[in-house]
Amino acid sequence: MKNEAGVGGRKKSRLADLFDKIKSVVYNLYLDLTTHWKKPAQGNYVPYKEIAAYSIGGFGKEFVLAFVAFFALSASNTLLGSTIGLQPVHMQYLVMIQQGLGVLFSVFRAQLVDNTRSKWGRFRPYILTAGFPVVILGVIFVFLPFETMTYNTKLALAFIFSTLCSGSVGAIALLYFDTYNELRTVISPNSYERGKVIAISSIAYSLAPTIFYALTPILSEKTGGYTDIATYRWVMAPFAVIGVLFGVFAALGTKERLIVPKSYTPKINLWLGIKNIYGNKYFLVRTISSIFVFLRTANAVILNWLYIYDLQDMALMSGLTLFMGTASGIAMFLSPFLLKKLGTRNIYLTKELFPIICSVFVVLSLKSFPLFFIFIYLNTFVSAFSLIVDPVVHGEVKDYQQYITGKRLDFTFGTAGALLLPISLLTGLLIPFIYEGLGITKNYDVLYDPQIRYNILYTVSLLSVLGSVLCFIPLIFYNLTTSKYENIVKVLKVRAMFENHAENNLSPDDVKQGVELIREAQATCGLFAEPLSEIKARFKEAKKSDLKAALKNYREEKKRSEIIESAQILVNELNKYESPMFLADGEIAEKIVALGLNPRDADEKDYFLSAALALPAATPEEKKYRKRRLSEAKAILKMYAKLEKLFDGNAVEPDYSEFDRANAMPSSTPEERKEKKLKLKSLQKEFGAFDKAATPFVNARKFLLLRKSYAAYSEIEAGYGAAVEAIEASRLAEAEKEARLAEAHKEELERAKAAKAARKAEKRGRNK
Amino acid sequence: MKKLFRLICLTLLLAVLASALAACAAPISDDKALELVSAGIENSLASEYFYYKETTLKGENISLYVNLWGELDKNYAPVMIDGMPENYKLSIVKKQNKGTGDDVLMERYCGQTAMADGTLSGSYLLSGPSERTAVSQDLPSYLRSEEFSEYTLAQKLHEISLFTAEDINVTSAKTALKVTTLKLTVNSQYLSRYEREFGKKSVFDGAERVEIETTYDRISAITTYAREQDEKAKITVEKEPYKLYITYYGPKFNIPTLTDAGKW
Repeated sequence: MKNEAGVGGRKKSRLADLFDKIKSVVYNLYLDLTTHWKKPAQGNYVPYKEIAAYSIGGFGKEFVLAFVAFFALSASNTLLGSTIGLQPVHMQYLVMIQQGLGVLFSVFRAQLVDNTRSKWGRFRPYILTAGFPVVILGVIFVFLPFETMTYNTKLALAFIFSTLCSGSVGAIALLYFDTYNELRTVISPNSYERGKVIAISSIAYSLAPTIFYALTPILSEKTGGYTDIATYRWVMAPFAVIGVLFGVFAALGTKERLIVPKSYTPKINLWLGIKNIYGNKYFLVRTISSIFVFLRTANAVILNWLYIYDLQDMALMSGLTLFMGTASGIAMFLSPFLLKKLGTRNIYLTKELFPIICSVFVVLSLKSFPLFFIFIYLNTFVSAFSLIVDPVVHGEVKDYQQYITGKRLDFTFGTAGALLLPISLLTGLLIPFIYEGLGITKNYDVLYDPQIRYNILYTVSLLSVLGSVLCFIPLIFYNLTTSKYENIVKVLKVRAMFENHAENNLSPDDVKQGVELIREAQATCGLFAEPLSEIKARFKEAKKSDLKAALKNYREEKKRSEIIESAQILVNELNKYESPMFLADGEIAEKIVALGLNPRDADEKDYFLSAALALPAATPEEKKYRKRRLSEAKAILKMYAKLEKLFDGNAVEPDYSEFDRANAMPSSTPEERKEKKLKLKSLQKEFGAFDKAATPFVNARKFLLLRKSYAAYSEIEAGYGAAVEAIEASRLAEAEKEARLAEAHKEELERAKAAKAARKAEKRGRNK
Repeated sequence: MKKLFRLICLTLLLAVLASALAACAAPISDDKALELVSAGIENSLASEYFYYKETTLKGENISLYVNLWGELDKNYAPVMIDGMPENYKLSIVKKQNKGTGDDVLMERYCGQTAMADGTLSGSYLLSGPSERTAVSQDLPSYLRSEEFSEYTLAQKLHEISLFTAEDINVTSAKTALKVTTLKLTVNSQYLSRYEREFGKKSVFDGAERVEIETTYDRISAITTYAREQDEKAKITVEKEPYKLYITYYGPKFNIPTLTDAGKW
């Protein structure tokens, strides 16, 4: 008896311990949340308040997206397909036109967004405003009297509204959705924190589609199901109206943070930007892979069609959709941990590999709904990693772009991707052709016929297997490892330090961070990086005796070797001006600056071309370099001609500091605001015209300034001690403030707890 | 990398060329078109089940939905119990679209049903909507009845079965995998002959062209196209005065339960 009591007591005590631990975790979480609600923890950039605003905005955006997804010209779309009855191939023809227009819209959006210089940043102004017209147009569309319209009228109207509002290509819709998505890539300069923000916000806003797709089938039973227009009018549209209002939070409650020097102002030449992007191998492999996504996702339509045309049970559809939502939720929850544990590249490649296996099982289980559902669930689970991992990968590819070209490009990536239009136009016809050939023309009710339904479903499932394989093949070349990427970010930080030094804008933080990064890289590079072949050979030998230990050792050694090799990226950056190519570039830059903006001597102008022509072209590298120099020489000659024409031989470099002065102008009254706006606009125009005409000169001057800064590294390093002291003093003051804040919070909580306990005791006393 | 890129481009090009070739339109004679239609009608009428939607936009905007339904086995054949398809039932709904919504003009349900409490089960014919009555009747006898004769699939396909090579002119024929689409015009001799013989206008009357579609060698759609002057906009617009969409297995539905003997 005594013994049993002892066991019971230990159990109780263990339970109490567990409870205490949970309580402590929850309390610390609460404390962390409240302490860093408005101010981020040290080393972070984004406070919780901002994450919450971004998430709420995303929640709203997802409602809008769920609604306008029904405007996509696709046979799998139940509004334009099953309800309005547009033929798959007709829709695909319109998609071809739409994609052509899409390129123009994408150019327009890229120019608009990448050149936006508002105090709100690049993306937030559009997040605030672009959602409203999308929802208004969407609501108008679903209330049109389709019942009495002819087929061609319906087709024309669907095309117009889809081109403006569709979630995949809509000119206005994409301005709204893309700016929201791009905001997360600049919300923090820290890749891990960015991943964390994306994960938290994704978990929060993914609730929106879960709610939408769980409620709409049930509500649609009252309006005639997914094939009745009343469902889109009275069930779907109200979600979008609520959503667009929530979306405002993302615009009002966030900030944009780019890793750029303080003097940075975006000046983007679109075509040059696109050319540069196509030199980015990671962009290329991802883009080639994306060409086959249309095949891989061919099976995405199956579940919905099985719900609507086979099971015909809206309550079951609602329940299973709700359950399916857990797949995305779990994946999004796990994403940040897996990103940290496995690294972006590994998790990216794994999630791209998995659809191959899953699509095979989908084919095999097509006629057994429970098994099919399990595989679709698993596929959804792994695909949901894309929601977090893809933006992180996209962010890394953009950072890599900034690393190789020195220019920050955001929306231009979208335009560069749109150049693959001819391919997607042709490939896009394949699936609609199969749909139509197997029976779906204007009457989607043929899908009630199981023979027709399964013929279509088996065909698209097999295409999906093929697509999954083709999508994965190019990604084998995606070798941007975590350590490589980390060093690229370090290079960007170090570059920003040198650029700020060149602009006399250097802060203690810049110095401390930059010098520490350089010192660390220099120390790491001094270590010996063993070749991978040797590590592999040793692993093969060791695994015979103890596989587990050998594997652990192999992974550690491989990682160490990778770290050492990647550190070279930063060291190379530091010494880049001593490389033969940069030395030659330096000579050219010196010559351009020395000649000034108005050279009179024709021979001097021709120097660049003759120097480029005299370069050797024996090896591929030499040929490539000569080609670049020739193109630069032509650009220089063009510049002199332009400047001569524009300024009549008296070109003068504008005073860029005038822009900062204009930015500092008062703006409290409407008149002042108007005056400031006009001044900024005129300066932008003036600077833009000069920058455009004198690009080689501006670049050469920047090159020389930076070279001078890089050469002055020892001088910057000498200021390290003073910088550390300044930061430490500021940190101490900050920590003191934070501690006071935390203490106040704690006291407040204690007081609340004591008051609660007192109330309880009083109540107990009264009851007695 | 370049090799891979070229390989991918080549694969895509081949895929697109193959699909483009497969989608090619093949011109056929009027006789051949009639053969296709005739075979399509024969196969359609051999089907145990069907679901069709007929829309007539001539003045009144009437839509008719007829669904003859029963269970199918794994090989898509009807599941037979005592010589009758399992769960065999029929629904007929006629609606009129008035712009603001639909008015139900006629409803018929026939098949096994019962009272909500499970008593009085049996095969009934339910009629509505103005007066909701239920009379005991089995489905095979209703399918043979005078009332149903105007809703049979044979009746709906009757007109196209009357075509002769002289009556039509096939302007285009396209076959893509399992679907064939014929575009044709119907001449005036046929229209006047039809009116003379049957005392009513043909559904193809006033049609500029007609589209007949067969899917898996069964008639799946008949659509007529006509040009009409829009008085408000002062433009000529193309309209679809008559549409018949057929599928050989329709959506599941439940026959309403009876509230009282003779009511539902």
